[in-house]
Amino acid sequence: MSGASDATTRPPALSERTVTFQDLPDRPSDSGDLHSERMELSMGPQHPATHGVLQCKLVLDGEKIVSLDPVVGYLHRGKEKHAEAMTYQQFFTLTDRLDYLQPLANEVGWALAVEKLAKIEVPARAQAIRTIICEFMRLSAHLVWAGIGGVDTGAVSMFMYAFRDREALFDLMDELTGLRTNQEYIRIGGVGADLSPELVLKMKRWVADFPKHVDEFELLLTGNKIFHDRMRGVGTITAQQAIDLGITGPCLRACGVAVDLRRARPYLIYPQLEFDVPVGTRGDAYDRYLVRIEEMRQSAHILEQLLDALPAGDWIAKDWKNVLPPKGRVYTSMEEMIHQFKTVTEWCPPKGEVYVATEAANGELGFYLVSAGRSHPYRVKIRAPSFVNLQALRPMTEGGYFSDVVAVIASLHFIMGECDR
Amino acid sequence: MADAAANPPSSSNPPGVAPAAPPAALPPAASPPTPAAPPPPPPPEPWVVAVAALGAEPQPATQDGLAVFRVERDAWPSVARALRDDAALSFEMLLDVAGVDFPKRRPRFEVVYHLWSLRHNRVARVKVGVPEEDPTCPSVVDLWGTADWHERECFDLLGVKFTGHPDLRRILMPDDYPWHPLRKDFPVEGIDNSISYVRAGGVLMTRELDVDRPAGQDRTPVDLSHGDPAGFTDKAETEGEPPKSGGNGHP
Amino acid sequence: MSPATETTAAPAASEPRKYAAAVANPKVLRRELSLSERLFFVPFMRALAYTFSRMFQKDVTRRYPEQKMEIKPSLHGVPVLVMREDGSPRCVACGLCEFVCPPRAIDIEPGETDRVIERAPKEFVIDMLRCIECSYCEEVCPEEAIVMSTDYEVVGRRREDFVWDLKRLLKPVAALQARLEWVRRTYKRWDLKGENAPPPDGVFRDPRWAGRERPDEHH
Repeated sequence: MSGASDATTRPPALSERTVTFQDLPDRPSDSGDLHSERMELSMGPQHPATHGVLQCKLVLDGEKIVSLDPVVGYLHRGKEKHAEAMTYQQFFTLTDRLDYLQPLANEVGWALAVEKLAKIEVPARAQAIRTIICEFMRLSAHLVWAGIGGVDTGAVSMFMYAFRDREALFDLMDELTGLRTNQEYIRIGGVGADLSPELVLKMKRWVADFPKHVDEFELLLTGNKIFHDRMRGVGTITAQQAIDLGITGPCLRACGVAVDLRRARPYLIYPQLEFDVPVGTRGDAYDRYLVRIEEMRQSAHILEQLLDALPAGDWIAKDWKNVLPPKGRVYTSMEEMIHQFKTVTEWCPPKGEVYVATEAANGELGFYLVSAGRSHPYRVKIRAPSFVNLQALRPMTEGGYFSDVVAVIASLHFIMGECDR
Repeated sequence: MADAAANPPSSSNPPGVAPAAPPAALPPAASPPTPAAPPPPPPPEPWVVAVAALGAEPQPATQDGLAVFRVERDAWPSVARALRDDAALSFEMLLDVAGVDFPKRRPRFEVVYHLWSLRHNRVARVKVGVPEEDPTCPSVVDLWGTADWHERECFDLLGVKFTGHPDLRRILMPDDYPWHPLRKDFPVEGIDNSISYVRAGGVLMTRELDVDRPAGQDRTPVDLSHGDPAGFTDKAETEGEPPKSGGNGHP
Repeated sequence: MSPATETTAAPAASEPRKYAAAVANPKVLRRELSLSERLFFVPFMRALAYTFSRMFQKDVTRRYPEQKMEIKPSLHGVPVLVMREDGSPRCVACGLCEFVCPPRAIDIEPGETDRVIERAPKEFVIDMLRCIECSYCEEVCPEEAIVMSTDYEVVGRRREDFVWDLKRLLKPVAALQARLEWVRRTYKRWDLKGENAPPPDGVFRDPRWAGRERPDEHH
């Protein structure tokens, strides 16, 4: 308790009188000039609007951002180091948790890299199922983006609509793989289980309904003046800047560059499918929103085509040197038993290196895999689209207003699991 | 879709890049099997020749069929600039910068760049060797802005310094982390330098952080729990008998 | 009436594309707000009416834990060990599940046994805090000895509660029949036709054992 003897040199303690504006430092001078100083603000890493554990070290001049320094690495789990101690099959569990909104799509990327390295032929049905899975996962990731993007910009009800659809998608995945998320369903050489005709019907029904739901999202957001004003002109980036920064995916397409890996460097059975690649014109947050909404519609269109014409056949390669043999034979036949043990413990691809990239929901997800011919990879470098796209956060926000940071983060839609690995 | 079965849909080579070794026509089946000479490799494409002329040494293609080049560290800045600016090459986008550690090789580190030419739709891989004694590599951040964070990551995890980089600091690990984890001499289990941990039973321990001494030596755990930190452990559980059931009601 | 996002065609095909990697005719999206949208009131009321109407539609929320999700045959929760009729585990401690477990949750100590099999687990411990329920252990097991249960709600009050030992993991065969059926349908992966067609009763009988009794036949 400060003594009364200090009353002459110091103002009385706060409890003794009400605090008035005169007590605060930096009070306006009598001439009316408003004195302000730059403020350093740490936004994150625990922050509901930074899409994961991202820390933005901001220097603010009032509401304007002088500089923004994104600090990543809070979710770094050392996957690339883990890979050196795990077998190729075990690494699927780590790829699931990269962009955790679209787990199976990351698995497909890894499977494609390993199969390219080991020159394993995958049957047509397995490739078709993988394509279906990839598109469902793209929808899953875009639905989260739509929901969280709405929440970040204030349209809280959007979250419920997006997650209602995502819940239905989880149920479909549950029926197919046994888990709602982080499914670990893809195997080297194919997939883990077959897609039954009943499930195909359920998927078709859901896909037929889905465009109506996208209309509902658009009803809530697209024509909404508040949303439009918050996103139009915010976080603009030119096509040249985007290419220089290595941005891929919807963020690049919103700048007008019509590059989509499903068409540029095709994989799976995308060459046989018909779909449009949406592009924006201005490269701002609103265009990124439009591109992703349209991509959801295009994914539904792709799924319609796939589910209508799923080829019959095996859902995993019948190559016992690379794939686990059928269990019935493993229980009773010596050769298959030996193959089982060898494949699980000592499956080694040949020496070499591959770089295989797929179009993930956020952009180009690449796996650079170096193999020394042993049962675990020598080096895995995951080219994470979120890691690269996050570099655009600085040019998009510096010089702008602080309240736009959240809108920019929402529109960039990076996932820290992928960024930090 | 009907041709899906007939057309095995494994990933196709990126257009514009010649596959590694297309088979030549085989001799007719009637003749007795003689060991056929391996088919001659196809002539390199003009752009590969152009890159080789810049000073990059073409390497044999690997399983993904990409064109691979090896560039000397000192030549890398000029080669990189030509790769980006030359109209016939036009590698506008740097996809990835990966560092690989080969402890038994000289040079030890290999910085691998993946470049994508959007104009011609080709991907190329360029490798630059970086020796252990002088682990520096010229930065390409003024050519491709995306190299900023990639090079920071390479420095962080492998210790390769990029000269000319404006802000080379750690990106994934904490700023004061003393090691480069992705090097092969860093153990896969990690080096535990956490300053606190929870012992079984929920007791919070802490220890002094001494980066010069690896974990497990000369670290005296100090019990900061003062017997029973609020809500951390249930005294009855640590001192008495454990409950009869497993705790979740299952037999 | 709000305008749909209009799309315009890309420049004519005769114009050379700047990037070969780009698509020839992308769907260019342009969207400007109409006058009604800029005035805000009417679109806002439409959206509000839609949200209001949802109040009277069927609820999609599942009130967990009172309402649980439907257990589908493919659901896999935590792994459990199959117990034979005599109370012993089917497991022969081969270690494949221990090897393949990605988070290293399984710890087996093999031991000798008097039964006709050569090995049995002396100790079999799964740390459920590590287990990610990926079902790789079930997939690689050559004995149908470890299967995934439908138990996904594993709770405890201490870390030790989550470390399940052999006694806690063993579940009788009868309780796991549904999952065993599913395993056989999925992982047995019969070839579809010819001499490898699945036998009518679904049990693969190796012709090399025809007429003889296999010592450890439990299928």
